[in-house]
Amino acid sequence: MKIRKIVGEWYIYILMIVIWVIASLLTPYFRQMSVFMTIIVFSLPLALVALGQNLVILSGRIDLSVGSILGLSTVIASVTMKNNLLIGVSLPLLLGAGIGFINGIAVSKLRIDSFIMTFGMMAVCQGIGLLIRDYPGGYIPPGYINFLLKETKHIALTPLFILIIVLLVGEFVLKRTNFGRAIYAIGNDDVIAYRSGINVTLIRTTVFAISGFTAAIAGLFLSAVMASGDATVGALYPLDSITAVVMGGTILSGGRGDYKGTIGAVLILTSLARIFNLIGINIWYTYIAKGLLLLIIVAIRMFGVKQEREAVL
Amino acid sequence: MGEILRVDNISKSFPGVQALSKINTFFSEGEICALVGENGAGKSTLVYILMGAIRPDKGKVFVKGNEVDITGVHKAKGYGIGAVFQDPSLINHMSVAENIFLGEQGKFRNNGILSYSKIFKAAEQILNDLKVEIDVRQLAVLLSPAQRKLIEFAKMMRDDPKVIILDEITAALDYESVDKLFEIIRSKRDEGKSVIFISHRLKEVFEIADTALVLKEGKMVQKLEVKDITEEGLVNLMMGRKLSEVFPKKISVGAKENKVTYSIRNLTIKGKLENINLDIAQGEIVALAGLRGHGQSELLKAVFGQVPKNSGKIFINNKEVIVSNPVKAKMKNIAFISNRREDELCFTHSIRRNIALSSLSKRQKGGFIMQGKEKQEVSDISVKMNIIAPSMTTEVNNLSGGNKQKVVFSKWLLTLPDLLLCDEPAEGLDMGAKSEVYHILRRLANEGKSILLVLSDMIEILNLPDRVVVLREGKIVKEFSIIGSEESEILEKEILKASVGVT
Repeated sequence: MKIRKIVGEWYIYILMIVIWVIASLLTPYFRQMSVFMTIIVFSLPLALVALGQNLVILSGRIDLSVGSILGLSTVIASVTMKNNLLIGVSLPLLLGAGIGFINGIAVSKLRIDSFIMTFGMMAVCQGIGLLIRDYPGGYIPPGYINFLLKETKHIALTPLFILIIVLLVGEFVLKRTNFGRAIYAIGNDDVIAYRSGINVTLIRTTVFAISGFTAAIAGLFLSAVMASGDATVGALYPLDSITAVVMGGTILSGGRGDYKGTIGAVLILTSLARIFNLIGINIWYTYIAKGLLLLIIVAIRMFGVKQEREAVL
Repeated sequence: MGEILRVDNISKSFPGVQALSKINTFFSEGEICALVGENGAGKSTLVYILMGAIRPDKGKVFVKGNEVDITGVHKAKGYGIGAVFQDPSLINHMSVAENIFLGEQGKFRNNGILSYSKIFKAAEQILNDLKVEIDVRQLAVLLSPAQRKLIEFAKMMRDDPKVIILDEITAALDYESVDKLFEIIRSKRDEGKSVIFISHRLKEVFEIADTALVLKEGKMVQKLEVKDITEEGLVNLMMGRKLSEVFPKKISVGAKENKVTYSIRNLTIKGKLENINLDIAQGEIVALAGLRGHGQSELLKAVFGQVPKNSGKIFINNKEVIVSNPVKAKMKNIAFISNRREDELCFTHSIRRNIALSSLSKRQKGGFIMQGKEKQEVSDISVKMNIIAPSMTTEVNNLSGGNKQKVVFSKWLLTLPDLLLCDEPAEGLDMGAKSEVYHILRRLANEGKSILLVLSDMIEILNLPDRVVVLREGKIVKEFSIIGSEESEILEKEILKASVGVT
């Protein structure tokens, strides 16, 4: 019984280890530290976007605008950083949080469906990003890149640290703060939350603002990786982040789930691309693998839920 | 009259529970049999077996002397058994007529195309027979809860069943609709149908039933003629406890200092409440009575700030307070326990999370939850409330109705309310759990809280509160003090008369 509970909670990490072990048996290249670091570097932006997405989904809504906020953030950084690093960092963050705030107000106050609202916002941000920079480019200061991606003994420590901190902060906020509890309650049913004296509008708006903010951080990091700004770089992030959140055990309708599962799913998703690349399988197969993995995991979980239900009856 | 349905030695067990053991009984033509017993006594299990929704472990079912194997709901219909279940079964965005003939639309075709005029006509015919006046073209979503039940009833009557099973059909109905429904049920009985009737309201059992089948912990206690037993006697059979023990003893009103703490002045909600003035003293339990839907629930919601009011003020100790939403209500120490438990509990969350939800802000440091304090307070209150569960991390889903309601109480009590608003606090609970809720309320009153209830069960109205306020058409029409139970019959009559507007 206890083992079942532990497996239920950590299945995504068990799966991750299984995949890693199989991969390292298949190809010796996977056993190198540099591969692990690449996975971390590519996982970090998705993990950040997925943190915001995770909060939004837990609260029972969805955010499709994360990808173009991320793209816009890299563009703004690539334009402003050459003059002033401080502005180059803070402007994208403010903008991301601001856009998220507008999403949140529209969803909570005006009661626009979050799918529609963030879908529209996605197009708007994409357009603005392309107006500013219709082709990847711009200038990112080497010092900034070096700070984020500097390798000591082939290990880029900063992304790893940031990833760990993000994981801890995400889990802590969800499990140990009033804000986190309120998110779960709202995602379960906002009428209950409202009647329990929770300020539903405030929490919803904050959640969307955080989602915009984390997408913008992801953009700042990616701009260092690319050493440029690209308005379309975030195209796959909305669906990838939703995939990671759902794969990690959060229910799409809200109220149930956590962040550590999401991080595990992010690591698996980014590993797959690396592994297929190293083994020499056509890269398009990763899409098929991602899709199938998501479906299989959700199907297994629903099977478990169904068995529980029948036991009760 | 002849026997129609017989069950022989029916047993059914679920993991860990013997839901039914060796039930032997029969139902006759022209008989209305009330199935009574506490929650978990096996009433629903028996109904589900008769309807083929679950299969018995042992035993046989006979219809008109022939052994039958009921393997599904459609089979039960074939054998002439129909039921209205507790759970709603109408499809919201279909018309009443389509709902009534759901699954049988094929019969109403013109050259292969569904003919709405035919289906409407047939539905009207059915409703006419039942003397129900509802537009069959209306969408089900627009129906009131009472109308929904009547349509579900009509849907069952479509197949003209010989055995009619009604599981808690009256719970959602107001008195007027109940009377109407009873009239229909009686006429069906006189046509020779057999009716199996389940209700938690004993009054109704005595009003309509000919016989009562008493179940207790899955066993059959007795089947008896209703005219041979009193209410008290029936309750005793169901629970082996006396009615006087169900309700807590009141401390005599005079012994307490009756300080007015909460006052409602000139409260109006257009079309729902008109000029309500009400004082609730410290340590007093006030019940709002009257026919359902005459503004009682609205009043509670308005005091809690859950619905906007057109006018009206609320005073605490003669000082005006603004309560425009639940957040502010909570700050003024007002708590509101709704009659819909799905509006109170996050069913898939743990007991601790649910209990902690309303009082999070009382145990925080800079937004962080004080875990130790939370665990302590939750476990203290759960002991005080006698919540029976494996642990505080158990999902609320897995609790019985009574324990769920105790979780709701715990949740609100941790906000340390001075005024507790409660809409039908014991509705849908079994006798044992009801009794516990009554005692909790009385204890809270004795601790000095003011309590405002909405009640509709007459036994509760006559025994639980200190004072009863009758609402009709959104207005307070009469007030009664409830001191002892000596004149309860006269009082009951008075309350009923005030409710329906007879002078």
